[in-house]
Amino acid sequence: MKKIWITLGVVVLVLFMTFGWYKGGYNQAIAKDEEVKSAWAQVDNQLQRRNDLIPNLISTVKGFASHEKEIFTEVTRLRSQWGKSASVGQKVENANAMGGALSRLLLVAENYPQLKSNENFLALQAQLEGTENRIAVERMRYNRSVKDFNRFQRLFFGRFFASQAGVTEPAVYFEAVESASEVPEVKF
Amino acid sequence: MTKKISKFTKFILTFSLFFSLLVSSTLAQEVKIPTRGQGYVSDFAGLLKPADKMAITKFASELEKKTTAQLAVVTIQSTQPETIQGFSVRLFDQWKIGQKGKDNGALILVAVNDRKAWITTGYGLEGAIPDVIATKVVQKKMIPYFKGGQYSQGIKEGSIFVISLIAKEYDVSITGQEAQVYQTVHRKSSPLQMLFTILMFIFIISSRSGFLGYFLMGSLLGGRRRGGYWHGTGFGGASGGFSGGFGGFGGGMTGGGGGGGGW
Repeated sequence: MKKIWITLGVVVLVLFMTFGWYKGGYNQAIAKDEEVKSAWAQVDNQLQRRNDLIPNLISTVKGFASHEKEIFTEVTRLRSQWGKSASVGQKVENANAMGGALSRLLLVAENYPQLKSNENFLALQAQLEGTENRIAVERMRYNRSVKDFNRFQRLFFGRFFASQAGVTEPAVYFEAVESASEVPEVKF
Repeated sequence: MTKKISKFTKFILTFSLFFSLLVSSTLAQEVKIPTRGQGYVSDFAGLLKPADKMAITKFASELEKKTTAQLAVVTIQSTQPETIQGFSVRLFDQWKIGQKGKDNGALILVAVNDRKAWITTGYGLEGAIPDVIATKVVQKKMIPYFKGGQYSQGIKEGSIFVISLIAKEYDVSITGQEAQVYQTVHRKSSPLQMLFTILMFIFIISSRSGFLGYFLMGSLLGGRRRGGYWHGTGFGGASGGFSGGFGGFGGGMTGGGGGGGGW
């Protein structure tokens, strides 16, 4: 009789431990996935903020350099494309293109002394710079969470838990294009 | 001052083994960040006169007492090859300036060899110190002094201006008359130190009955407490424990807001 109780106790204990282990792993997968999502939301906020500055920026620059049509259309096109891009991958691509286009726009502005000393333009430029700094920070945090999640997903048990929790898709890194931080080439 | 820095480097080297296992790899490449500040003012580059450092500390601690907002003033030699913003954000992240949830921290960083100064605001202070204002504080209040080599004066002016901006946001006034009060308050507000004292007390009572021993330990503790007050030799973990007499930074985050300039 005693033997049965002991066996039963051991079985219950093992079941309990297995359940705890499963629950822990499952929750970890969910938590890491959520972490990526909330970090992306922060990036998204800042990118949105940058896009919100664009109409003002364009109308200000246009007032002084109306014939630089090419760059205006590109920035406007990218901005409208932003609204349509649904996946993180598309948004990353769009944001990188936008970063490049904006730095070209600012470079164009360099050629117009009157524009460069315009109050409105200076304020916009400062805001844009602040937004870029914030994007950089949130991007770094996002990439850190992506790294954490993707690493977890590739672990032996991590993969199992990720599939149990239904988060099997690896998260997309927000790689900053090197050229975006360099001075772009401009042909006149 | 160089002695103090090399002490810090040693400290970092011994702990970097532990941290390199824990902290993600991205932190290892650039200029290393001192693991803990020396209070509100961490003058690693040795630019500040003692009186100015005292003044900033006094105002900053009064600010924290009245608003819970935290200001960190840090001077270093260089942030190269990193930009001053990038380094500021990393330092902010590591020290976690400001209160958790409120994110009401601000950091003034001066990299003297790079000839650059930068103010970084926590999420919660972006309204009190917009980027434009941060840039103006650096360019109008600090850099004019820096150009003439008056680093101490410039840092003091900038710090006090930032403190006044935060105070305005919280609708309090900073008088500079609270030096006496904050000392006692901080002594009380450090439960770890009290615990330590009590533990020591019990230890001494239980192990040895001699009065002399108790006396010696008591005076030793007193000395330590006072020493810890300015230099931050206190206790606590990386997540904003109690460091020295000053309460430690509290868990605030920054989104990379702020501004600055060079000279």
